[in-house]
Amino acid sequence: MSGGRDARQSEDNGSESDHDAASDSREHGQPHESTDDGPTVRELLAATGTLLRGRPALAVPFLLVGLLAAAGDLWRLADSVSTVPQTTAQRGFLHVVLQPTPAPISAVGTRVPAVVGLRTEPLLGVLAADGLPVLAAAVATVVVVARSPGTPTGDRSLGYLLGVAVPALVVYQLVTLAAFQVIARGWPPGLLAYLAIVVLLYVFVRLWLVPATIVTAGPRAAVGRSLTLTKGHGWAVFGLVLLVGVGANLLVSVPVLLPSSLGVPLPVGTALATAVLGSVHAVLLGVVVGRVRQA
Amino acid sequence: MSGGNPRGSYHTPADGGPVDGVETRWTRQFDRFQPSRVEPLLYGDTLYVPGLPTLAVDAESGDARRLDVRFRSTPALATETAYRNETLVGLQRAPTGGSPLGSLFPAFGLAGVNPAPGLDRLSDGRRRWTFPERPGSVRPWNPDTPAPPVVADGRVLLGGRWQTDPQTVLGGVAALDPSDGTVEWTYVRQTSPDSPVPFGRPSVHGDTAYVSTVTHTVHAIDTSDGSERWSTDVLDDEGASVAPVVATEDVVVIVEDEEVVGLRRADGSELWRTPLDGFLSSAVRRPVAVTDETTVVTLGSDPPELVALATATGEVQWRVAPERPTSPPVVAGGIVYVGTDEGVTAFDIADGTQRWRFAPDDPVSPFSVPVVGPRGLYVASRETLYALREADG
Repeated sequence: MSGGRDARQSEDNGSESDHDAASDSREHGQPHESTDDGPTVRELLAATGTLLRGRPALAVPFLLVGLLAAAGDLWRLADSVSTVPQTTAQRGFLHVVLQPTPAPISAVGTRVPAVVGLRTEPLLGVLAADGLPVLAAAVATVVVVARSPGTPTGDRSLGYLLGVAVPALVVYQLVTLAAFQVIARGWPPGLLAYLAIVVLLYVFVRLWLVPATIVTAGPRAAVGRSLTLTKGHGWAVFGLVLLVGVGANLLVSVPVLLPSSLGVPLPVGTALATAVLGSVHAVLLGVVVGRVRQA
Repeated sequence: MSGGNPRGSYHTPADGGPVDGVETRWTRQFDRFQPSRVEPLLYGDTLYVPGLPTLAVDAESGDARRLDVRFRSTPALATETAYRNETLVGLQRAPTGGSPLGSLFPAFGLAGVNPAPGLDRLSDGRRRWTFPERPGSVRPWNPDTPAPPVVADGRVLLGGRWQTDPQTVLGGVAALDPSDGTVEWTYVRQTSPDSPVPFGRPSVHGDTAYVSTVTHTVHAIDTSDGSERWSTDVLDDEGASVAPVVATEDVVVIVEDEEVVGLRRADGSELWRTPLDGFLSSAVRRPVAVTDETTVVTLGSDPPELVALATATGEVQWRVAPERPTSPPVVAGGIVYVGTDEGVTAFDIADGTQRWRFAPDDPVSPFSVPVVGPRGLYVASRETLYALREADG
């Protein structure tokens, strides 16, 4: 696999790839109506929908991740380490699932204190059940972004994508989730916590494209590139974050939203939410990078 | 755990307690007053003192560290779990979810807590599991004296009332996996869908749990699957509390308000019934210690009394009048130890003769349940933990 069959030149090498990307977008029938203010949320979502309908193969990676995550949930529900349901029954309908990267959206959560002090065997089970889907999602993200038309991936090799982009994506996700965990567990204390949440949200929005720019610009330039691309488009990105986050909360909760008499198990919600919103999130990243660069 | 062992008998096989005389090995001053009616737990070299906060005390040196954990009942210790270290299992106050009725009808959750050092920096960093998960809760019959959990036969057993959803309150016994708090079985009795029967603390002997209800029925439950072995009505009326039950090799002892009843362990048939000629001490939650030979009951009459009965026949063997007891009697090595308003007093279980009395100056009473370990006896006032041992010479 090469990164982006239509992009023959890296993003930083000049306008040729821009031209190719624009051509590719038109070729695949995407709306091309960006304005001076940049694309709107609606335009970006429409382009994503068009792209997924035109290339349904782009949904396959996250369909597989969803199945893997559901299998992980089944394992976790059966093992000897406590789980926490993560649905609207616990979080309400207005909860936003913040995803720094396209990742498994699991209805079965693991609390960190439940892992501390585990014997080796159950610990490995938890790490495998929770970690393998994350790794698979990183691979799926790289694949989807690299294969999305309009994404300037240059001539990234398969070795680069798997050996550099995927690990960088995993590290980025772990660092971001660690930051969330620290704040969720009461640091900083008092009113500073609210300030920390606002700052974290701002940084979160500005770095939202990092999973894509890791693929297009490389890990070292990824953060700077995301900051550049999201400049002036913060509200649009924030809107996407909200839509994806609320959608994740609702889709993962399908088993508890349906009548309990149906007995739909929680992992069904995991598979559904991950397959649908993982694909949408990953394709959106490619679309946003392409569209914002054109704007 | 409450009662000192799965049977709840307050009978300790350890024989390290002082017999003929007592002296202080060390003392440990608490940073703040501990709640009354504390029941410390001894596990290896660590003495856990549940309180505000819970303390983990080195039983050898008296060095203490704080655990940011508050239990509303005496916790139990689970060791056969998926974890390398022990898990403290106890009732904690559950969040009320903003309900204005929350303070009127307090809800609890049973939590499995990691007591390892260094986990208090992050909020809720010790909780391994909760039963039931929110929005469920444990709804004790009496919030001041919720039935404590028991760890036995690889399970956590909880008697009482609980709800897993806001609509349904269940009464009975729940058996949980001590690793993750998942339900293995439940034994539920309802007088109607809206009226659960509150159960008390199970007494586990072998593979059977014996537990009484507020309706004065004793149930024998197979701990492997929750099936009923037998049930017997001890009294006809509904009481205000759940009577303590202790199972021995042959007899199940039930301590009602004004009498003690012995049931045959095999089938629940009544063996004997002995009037107490007094009433149970309200200052003591579980005022009975039971061995296969002797049952010792604390009465709150004026003056208070310790009454010893033969466990096999219910025949009264002796009665003595100690200082006002504040703890259940604890039996170890042929001695009955009782925490009182003044300290600790030891009696010979054979005839009730007082062996010794420990009464520190200006204690902040009441004194806790005495705990006997290989190196001596531990007892706490509200401000000090005392380690006692056999007096030299």
